[in-house]
Amino acid sequence: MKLLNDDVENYRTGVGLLAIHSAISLNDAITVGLTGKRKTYQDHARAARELERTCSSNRISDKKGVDHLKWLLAHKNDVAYQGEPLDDASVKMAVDKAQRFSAWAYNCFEEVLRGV
Amino acid sequence: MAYRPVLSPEQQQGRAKNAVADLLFRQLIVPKIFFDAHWPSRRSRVDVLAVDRSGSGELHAAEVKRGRDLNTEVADLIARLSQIPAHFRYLALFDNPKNTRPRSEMLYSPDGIGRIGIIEVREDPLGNLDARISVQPERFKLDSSVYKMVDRFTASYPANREVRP
Repeated sequence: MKLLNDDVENYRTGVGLLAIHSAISLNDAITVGLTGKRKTYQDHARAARELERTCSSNRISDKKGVDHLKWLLAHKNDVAYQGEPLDDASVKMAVDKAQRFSAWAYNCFEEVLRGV
Repeated sequence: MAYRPVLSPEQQQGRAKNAVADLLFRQLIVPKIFFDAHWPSRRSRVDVLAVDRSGSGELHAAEVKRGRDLNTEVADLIARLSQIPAHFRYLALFDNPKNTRPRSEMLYSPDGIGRIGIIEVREDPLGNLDARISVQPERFKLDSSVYKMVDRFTASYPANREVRP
């Protein structure tokens, strides 16, 4: 994502997709690390709700990361299927949200994600 | 020819450290970066220390040196880098018109697991700095207890550069 982001002009859709999928994968890693099971959802919004529940059950009060994930999931269909390419602001926002989600996840689930 | 301001050695050193931090920030995943880090103890100091994955990942340590001064101090520098507990270690060279480098065999760990990487920091005619890895580092072997030290370190010192959640 970072490498392609140096050439947004040519890879804007790729950057957006990688931002979203990196967050989905990291969220999966949290779930697998905590429960040993990988969950699949038809409705991506459920993944965010599940993460919110995971935070509550692990007494994590800082839920900023859930908001970042929600934003990314809400834009998944737009990024993946819309005919028009994303504008610069949307790509920048997707990268920003993905990086903030990663930082939050590694801070809040450090033990689970260490080594991932 | 572009006007070039005359900067003090400390300013030049600071710019080079910043360029190295930029490089590590781009290469790593949401790292926490510390300048002049007291790592691994209060008495020691590393020019640039980056801890990958927001403080939970591997350690990258870089010492920044003017290339033109390298010959006189190279053995000391390599010895110092060898003592720093970091998975990846770099010697960053700037202001290096003769492209001086340490002898390649000096960069390797005695047990063969780990090689110090070389970063070249170059300034273009407009005064822009660019840091690139010219010798890829190889990962050093560290005990997992280093992560407890890292946790204490990141809890004690605020990062100079990080992605805020």
